[in-house]
Amino acid sequence: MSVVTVERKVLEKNDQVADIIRGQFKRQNIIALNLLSSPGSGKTTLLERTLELLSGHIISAVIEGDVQTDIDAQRIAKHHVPVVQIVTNGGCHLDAMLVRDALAELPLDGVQMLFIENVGNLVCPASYDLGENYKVVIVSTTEGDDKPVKYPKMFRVANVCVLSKIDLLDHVDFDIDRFKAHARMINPDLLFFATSAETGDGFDKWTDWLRQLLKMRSL
Amino acid sequence: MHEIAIAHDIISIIEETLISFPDRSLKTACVSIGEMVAVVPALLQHAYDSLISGTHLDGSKLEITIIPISAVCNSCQKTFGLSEYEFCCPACQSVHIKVKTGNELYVKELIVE
Repeated sequence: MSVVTVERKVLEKNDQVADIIRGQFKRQNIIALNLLSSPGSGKTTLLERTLELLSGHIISAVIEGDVQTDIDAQRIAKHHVPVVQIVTNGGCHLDAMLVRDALAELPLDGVQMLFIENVGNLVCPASYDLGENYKVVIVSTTEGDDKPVKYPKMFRVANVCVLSKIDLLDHVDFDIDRFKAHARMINPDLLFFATSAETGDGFDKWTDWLRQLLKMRSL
Repeated sequence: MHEIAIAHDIISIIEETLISFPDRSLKTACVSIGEMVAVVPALLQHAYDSLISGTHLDGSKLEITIIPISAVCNSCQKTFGLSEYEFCCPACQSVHIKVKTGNELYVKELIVE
């Protein structure tokens, strides 16, 4: 019996590919956002409304990740932006290799902002670097304000938190202040936006921030 | 669910390592996993067992060490363990802390014979 020292990171291949993707985004001057949430939080609806508002201001592209079907990519395609669907066939998260392959199919000339809609899951996607600039976690008011303490890693790695479906606040037991306090306990630097795709509330601040990212990039 | 993907990557690292030891067989692969990675050890073991079934690794085991979350306070420099994911310094209550351990996910060593 003998011991062979290995000391290798399990996700080293993913992280190497993520670094290559990050370099590509930098060279092509693309800001990439990884959208993360549980299923049904309204990621795709948030993205559709966002693309509408950014149209004419920011040239966007989208990578859609789902366990099955290209329903989401069909929804996004109606907004006349380049979109590629990744079907993971049971995989519960996107990894950097899947994103690299999707990027090869995406016409990126002139694209300024790339949205990567991850598979709906608040656990596994938190561990996979996709080469993105920002991780955006989306939580709907119907999910409960204790999500940050139940899924701490996701809130720890996220840069931004978008609360969705705030038009339902009168109908659900969701306390925004308690939610923010929980999230800030995990990650004091988290940036918050509160939105409703139904009424449009909060989208001005959210899309202003996205525009600001481009301005900061061009400085 | 990410246990299957993680088991797959662990096996790739084992296979790559064993290329240099063609006459040895694997008994145990020792992996270290931080608490933040949220791996369920029993699920990872099941995933590993399923993936190696019928291969030359069949019969080998995973030895999983969970590394607790620890952090250092940026304000008072105290090092402490985190319980209940309270990312806050127990000494000065500062929330500006740097996580030192708990995000690990690596193959530490292989026990072969």
